This record gives sequence, C-alpha cells and structure tokens, in this order.
Amino acid sequence: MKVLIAGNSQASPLMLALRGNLFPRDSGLVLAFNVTPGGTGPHFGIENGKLKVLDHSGPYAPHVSPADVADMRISDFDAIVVSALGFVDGGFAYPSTLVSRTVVAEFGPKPALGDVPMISQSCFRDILSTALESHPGFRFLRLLQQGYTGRILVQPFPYLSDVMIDRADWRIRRQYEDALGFHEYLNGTRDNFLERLCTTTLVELLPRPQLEARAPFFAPAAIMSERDGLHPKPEYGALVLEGIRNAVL
Amino acid sequence: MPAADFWRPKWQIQKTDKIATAGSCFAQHIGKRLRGAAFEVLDYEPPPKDLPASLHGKHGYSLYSARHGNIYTVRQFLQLAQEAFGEAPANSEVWEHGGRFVDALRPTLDPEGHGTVEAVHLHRERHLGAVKRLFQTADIYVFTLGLTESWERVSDGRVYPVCPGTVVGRFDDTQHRFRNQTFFDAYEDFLKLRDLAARHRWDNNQLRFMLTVSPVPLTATAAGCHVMQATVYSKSVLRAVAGQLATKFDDVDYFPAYEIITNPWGSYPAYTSNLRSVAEEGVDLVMETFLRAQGVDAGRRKADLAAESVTFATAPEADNDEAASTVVCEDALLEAFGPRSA
Repeated sequence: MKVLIAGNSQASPLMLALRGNLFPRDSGLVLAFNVTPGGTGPHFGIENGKLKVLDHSGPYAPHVSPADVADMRISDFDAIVVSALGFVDGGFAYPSTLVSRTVVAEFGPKPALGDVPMISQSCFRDILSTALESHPGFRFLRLLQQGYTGRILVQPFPYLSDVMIDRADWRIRRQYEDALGFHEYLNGTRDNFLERLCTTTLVELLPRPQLEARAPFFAPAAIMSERDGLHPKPEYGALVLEGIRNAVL
Repeated sequence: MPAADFWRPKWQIQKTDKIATAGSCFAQHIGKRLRGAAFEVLDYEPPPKDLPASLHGKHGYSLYSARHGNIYTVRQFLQLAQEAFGEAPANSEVWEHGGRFVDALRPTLDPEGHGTVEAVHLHRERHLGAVKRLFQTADIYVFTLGLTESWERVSDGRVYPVCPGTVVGRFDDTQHRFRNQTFFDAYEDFLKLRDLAARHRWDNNQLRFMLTVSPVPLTATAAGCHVMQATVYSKSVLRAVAGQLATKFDDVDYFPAYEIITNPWGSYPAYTSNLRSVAEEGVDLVMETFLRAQGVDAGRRKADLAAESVTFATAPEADNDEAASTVVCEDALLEAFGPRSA
C-alpha cells in the first residue's frame, strides 16, 4: 500500500521513526514524504495531478523522501495522510496570535491585559474555526478532496508537552490565572472542530496515540522535544505510523 | 417638497467630530451608513481582528459605539450611563440558562452566554468602561428612541431591554413589572442624561445629541390595547419628546427619519414584506437626506455606499428581507418566542 505523508514539521517524527527503525520497514506500507515547514501548513497546492509547493523560497522549501516524490502524481498513492492539522498554540517557543490577541473571561485573564479585547467563548470558537479554515493545511485538505479519489487521512496536531505546566514563559501561563483551564478549552475546541470537519467531509481522522500526561490535552514530556515542547520525538512518530497502518491495512 | 428640504440641521457635523451611536435597532443603519460616508463613528468595543465581518452581529459587535445591544428607552440609556459613572449601583443581575450565564441587561448579546457568573461581571465591567469613555469623548451622540413600553425590576426600577422570560431569564411578577413610560418620564430622563454627560466631559465641549425616532412599529404590546394603538402612542410620545428637546436646547437636534419612512406621500416601499423592517430603499432615502443636509458629496457618498454594499453582499444573506434581518433586533426574537401578543 503506497502512502504519501503530505505534512508540515510534525511529519518529522514519522520520518525519524522510520530512519531509526522504530517502525518496521516491512509493515506493508510504502511511505513517501513531502513536507513543508510551518505549523499551519503543509503549504501545498495541486497542479497537473501533483503536489505543488506554494512557496519554494525561504521557510517553506520542501523536504522530500524519496527524492523524486514531487514528480509523482497523487493518484499514484493509495492513501494520503495530511500531517498534522490543527496548530493553535506554539507553547513557549512559538508565538500564537490566536492565543494572544484576545482573552476569555472564564479563565481569569491577568490584570495587565486590560487592553486586550475580552471575548466570549462562543466568539473565540468562531475565531478559532475561521483561523483554522484559513490555514494553508486546511486549504490543502479541501483541494485534496476535490482532486484526489483515494483515501485521505488527517493526523491531528500533537498536544503540547506537559512541561508547559511548569513553564512561566508559556504564553497561556502569562495570560491566564487558570492557564490549564484555557489550554483544555482551546484544545477541546480545536479537537471538536477537527472531528466535525472530518465527519462532515468524510475524511478519516487518525486517533491520537494514547499517552498519559500530567494533565488533560498534554503529551508526556518524555516523548516530546525538550527544545520547544511542541515537536514529538520519533517514538511518537512510530505510534502515529502504527495508527496509519491500522487505518489503511 | 424635495427630499433635500426634509431636514435643515442645526449644526453641520464635521469630519473630525467623533460620533457615537445608540438606540433601538433602526439606529444600526445610521451607524453603518455614517461610517460608510467616512464620518468618524466611534467603536470602543470593536470586534476582535480575527472575527470575520459576517459574524460581528452574531456576537454583538459593530452595531453601536459600545457593545450594549439595542437600547429602546431613554431610561435604559440613562441608567446605563449612571452605572458607568458610578451614579447608580452596578448591575449584578445574571440570568442562568442551560448552565450558562447572561447579563440580564444584555441578554441577547452573547449567543451562548458565559461559563461563569464572574465572567459576566468581567465583561460588564469592561463594557461600562467603554460607555464611560464614550460620554467623555464623543462630540455627538446619535440616539434613536424606540419604545416607551418597558419592563423594570420592582426593587429599584432598573429597566430591562427585553421582558424577562421571553428570550432568556424567568418572569416573576413579584420582581418584574411593566411600565409604559409617559412623555414626562422620557423627557425628564433625557434631561438627567444630558446633565450627566455635561458633568463628566473630558473637555469643555458640550456633548451634542442627534435624536431620531425609530419607524419600526411594535411587534407586541403589554399595554392592554391593540398593537396598532400601542405603536402610535409610543411613537407619538417619543416624537413629542424629541421635538420638545430639540426646540429647547441648541445642543439637541432632531432628524426626521421617522417621518421620512412613515409619511403617506412616499412613492417608495417603506417596509419589507413583514411590514415591520424598514426597506433598504427607505433606509437609503433617510440616509441620503441626512448626508445631503450635512453637505456630504453625493458622488463620493454613492461610492462609499457601493463599497459598503459589496461588503455585505458577500454575506450569505442576500435577499431584501434577509439583508434587513442582519440588523439585530430583539423584537424579532420576541415575535418568534415571546408569550405576549396583542
């Protein structure tokens, strides 16, 4: 079964799992990767039946495996996995305007944020949905639905490392007294959006690896990068690949 | 009489004048059109940058200069200003609905309410700050008088924007009562409002008021008479109050939007098919009259309006009735859900 992973940097752990032999080469899957950086991606269009990187320059230059994957037609693959959709919070390492431009009263915004617009939860949900739909990754998913007849699977964006719980420089911690409450609300709302989108568009949503963290909607620190707490380690990638195999075989 | 003669304003609004808007649902048209004509219309509770324009109304944004929703009576407006300046107790009444909580004085503003009572209070605190700044900094307040009928809290006379129990909340006749305000009620309330505004200015410029009366008829009445009679009573009182104030005070003007829509000589459709919402043609004429009298260049105004119509045409609601319904009006909700009928 030929599977294309069209992804953003969250596809890296999958590749590393393969290279590190954390996932068997004889799994029955023939995997190809076409990946562009940037959490809101992947930044692809579709042209002449092939993936076309929207911006080759600068930060969006693609990473591929095998080398000729860009020349392959998407119809050559039995399934395409979009990895990973639903970026909403960059933790302590990456700024997220979705988080910083407004505050939600229920979670105790810090008094210093008096000038930041306070909005209701339903308003925040509409903003989040609008933001996600405008992400290049979701736009690519729509294109894929129109131009590809094989199976489409979506990997949900991994949860942040639970190291955030202790980090004073986590943006959400700096904004809210009840940082964990907002984090849960943010991630729960995003997950609902993903589930609804996939259900209504008949796209398959891959399950998240079942991992026990110190609080809901986090990933355990041991399986996440210490550098940013946002990117998982190859062990996580292996679990995602396992999920893909279970879904398509 | 040519439309240009419908109104001779007392004063010209300058492009540098800061305009605030409030009132019943018809006032939403005025704010939008003034903004479209490049007047400086204040918005101290603006929509978040990332919220699409098509969703502003759903969340109570871009309707007025602050996020108070419709203000139907002068008393409601006065009490809001008094609360903002600490001259009346802060409202702490919160209604619970399906495990969510809403501000009893802004019950329809947030479609799903809030998760906690504290969140309601935090939002109200910010809202009052915005209202306060409007009274301190606006040069002109455009206020559309909508109703005389109101529902008030028995304990302190605080007026609700809608009858408790209709859209949300629970009606309790030991706590809530009907009051149909008289000429003297509305007139004296306005004098108090004007006095309050004068006492709290940041500069020496007097706040001016541009009054209009909403041409939108009542949907229902609690006055014990037919809704037709109730409408005529309400509009007559409000028109007389506005006229008396404009006659007496140089800083108060009256713009005859009500007459332009309701006069029997018009050759245009004044109302949409529900016989209640003002037709776009009527709104066009009202605002054309307003802007022309204010010396706004007709060519540029048309371009502005065209640009505005493009903005709204992109919204899914396109036909006339639905376009009219984008003006947020609790009365329409009452029509659908309210227990009262004439």
